[in-house]
Amino acid sequence: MNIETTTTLSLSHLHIGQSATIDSIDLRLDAKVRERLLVLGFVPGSLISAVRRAPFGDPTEFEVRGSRISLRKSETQFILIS
Amino acid sequence: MRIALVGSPNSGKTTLFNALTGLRQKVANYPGVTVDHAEGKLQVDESSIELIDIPGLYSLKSLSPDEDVARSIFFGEAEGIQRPDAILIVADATTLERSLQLVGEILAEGRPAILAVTMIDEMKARKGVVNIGELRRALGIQVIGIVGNKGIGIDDLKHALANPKPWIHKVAKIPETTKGRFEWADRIYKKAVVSPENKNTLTDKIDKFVLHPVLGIFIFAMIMFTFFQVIFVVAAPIQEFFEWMVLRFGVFVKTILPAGLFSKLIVEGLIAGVGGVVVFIPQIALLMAMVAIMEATGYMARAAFLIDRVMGWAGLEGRSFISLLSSFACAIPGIMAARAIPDPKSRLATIMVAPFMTCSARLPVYGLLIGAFIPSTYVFGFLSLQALVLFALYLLGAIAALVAGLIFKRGLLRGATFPFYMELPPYRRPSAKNLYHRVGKGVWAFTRKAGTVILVASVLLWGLLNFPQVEKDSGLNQVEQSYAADIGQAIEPVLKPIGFDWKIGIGLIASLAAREVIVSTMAQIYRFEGKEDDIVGLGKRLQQAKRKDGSPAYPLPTVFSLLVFFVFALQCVSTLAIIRRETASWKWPAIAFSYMLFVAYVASFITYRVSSWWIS
Repeated sequence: MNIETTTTLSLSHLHIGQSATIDSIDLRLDAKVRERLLVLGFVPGSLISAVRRAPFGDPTEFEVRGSRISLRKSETQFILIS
Repeated sequence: MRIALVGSPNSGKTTLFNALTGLRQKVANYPGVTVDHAEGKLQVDESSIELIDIPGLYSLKSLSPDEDVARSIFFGEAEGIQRPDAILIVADATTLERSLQLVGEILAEGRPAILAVTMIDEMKARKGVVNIGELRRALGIQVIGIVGNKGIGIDDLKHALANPKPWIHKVAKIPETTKGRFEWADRIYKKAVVSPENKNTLTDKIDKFVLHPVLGIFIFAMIMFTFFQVIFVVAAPIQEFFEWMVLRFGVFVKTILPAGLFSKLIVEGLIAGVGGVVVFIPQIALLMAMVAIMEATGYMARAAFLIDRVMGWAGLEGRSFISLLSSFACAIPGIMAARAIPDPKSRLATIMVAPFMTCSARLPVYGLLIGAFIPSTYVFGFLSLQALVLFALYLLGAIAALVAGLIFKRGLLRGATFPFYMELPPYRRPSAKNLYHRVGKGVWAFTRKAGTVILVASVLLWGLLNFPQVEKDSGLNQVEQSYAADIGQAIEPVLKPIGFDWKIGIGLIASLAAREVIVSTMAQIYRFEGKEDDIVGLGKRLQQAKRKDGSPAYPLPTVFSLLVFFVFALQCVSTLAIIRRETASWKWPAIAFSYMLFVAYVASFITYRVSSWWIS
């Protein structure tokens, strides 16, 4: 993987087929929503890969912690990866 | 002892519940199938156990209404439901990397608990390993590996449930934060589990096609399309045979009963009225089977994934789509399914538009009118024109639901607080037994409705159509002199602009109880036309029906207008009742009924005018 570990970008920028490590979830997101993303497996330090995008570009299916979960851009832009 | 099944959505709780209790609660392959609780009994040796199946949850901090149900039962806060004495935690072996955290959250509550690890067979097939003994040591509770739909491990589990003593164990302190619990879970996971493969599995291979941005949409369209072709091409001939049998039966009963009012009530009210609806069982059964297959394989969640963006334009989300697709069977489960939507406004908008989706109650109406008035020709030699019209009606309903959703979300229900997230489960082979039960349940519900609501309405209508009685040789027409005619004629002025006469008016009023009742009404009204004993199907009678001036009673513009009216109008008391229950107010069912009636009237008006002009 050639993603530099020093820079963080949002999960919405992760290309299909690529993997990254979840860095953090943006605090601007509602606390309940952050907690929900966490229990769904979007835990800092976890490996995540983008599996595919739905037609028209949204949502995207991710593989994280052994599950396949799809999220919309409106949430993935708040999940930071490195 | 009362034991609740607690675990993540789609971890196999209901399958396990059914295996343990012998009950047949609905199981399918997408997260959020169970939205209400169910109780069942289990007898192991001397101990009798009450099991409670509850909706799945990702966390005890519930977000969606179905999780609220689960959470409140777990903590004993649900009204009228006793707090469970112990917890049967259910976790899918293939998703332990995520769900062990939830196991920790539940264990931290300190209740007696036991862990059932489900889908052990699938785990093996995907080359994963679960070391049950290691899990047992790390968690300090009994852990049993099972395969719920094959009965593997069920006996061991039963005996464990009957011997609650070794349940309570001192475990190493479980961290209080979610992040901390994930670290705790990861340590256990590393020791006890070898992760299953996700790449190059069958699911992965199928999804390359099914979820492909272009091909996926095409496959989706083909599936929907086949759906309607099958309903018409396969079910219609069987239905015709049923109809012939019902007619024969009516003639037979008439010969054995002494002539008189009683015989008329049985033959015209019951056999013609109720029978006219019951003959549509083949369509209902096929519809149920197809919906069940989509749900059981895991395609439903895929359809939601594909269509989420389109739903997003309407202000809704993918899970609303699951709710809307379930409404193809009946709006009631569809509206219940909306409980899995965390955002209250999206959920309410979904509830308010779900009745536009073409439910099975509309099938008899569509089947009757399309069968009678749309020629049974084939377009391009293989597409049934009747099926195409049926498809168009379904499409019209679905588009109406989306547009109405958009309007609701832009107006009354603006904004969304909670995100869309959805787990895509692996494809699973639907079990023949499950399909059989689902179809059986659907057909049974339909039959029961025919034996209750439709029967009562048919008998009432029979009374209204047969009284006051005309003298046999007065030359007067019984229907025209009846009370029902008075009612129909009273509202005829309102119906004229949309092409309906007073006879259809009677049917419309009757169909407010349930949509199918219009079929039984028509069956009764048109029995009086022509020779009564003729073995002539209702469709034929409608084709031959004439108005006073000799013109056909059902010209095409009237048929189209009537079909469109049924696409939009909310003629179903049960749906209104369920909207009231789910929204805990009379306001929303009142709004739903009114706006749908308004839309139906306007759309029928336009249809009637445009098609009259077009055809002339």
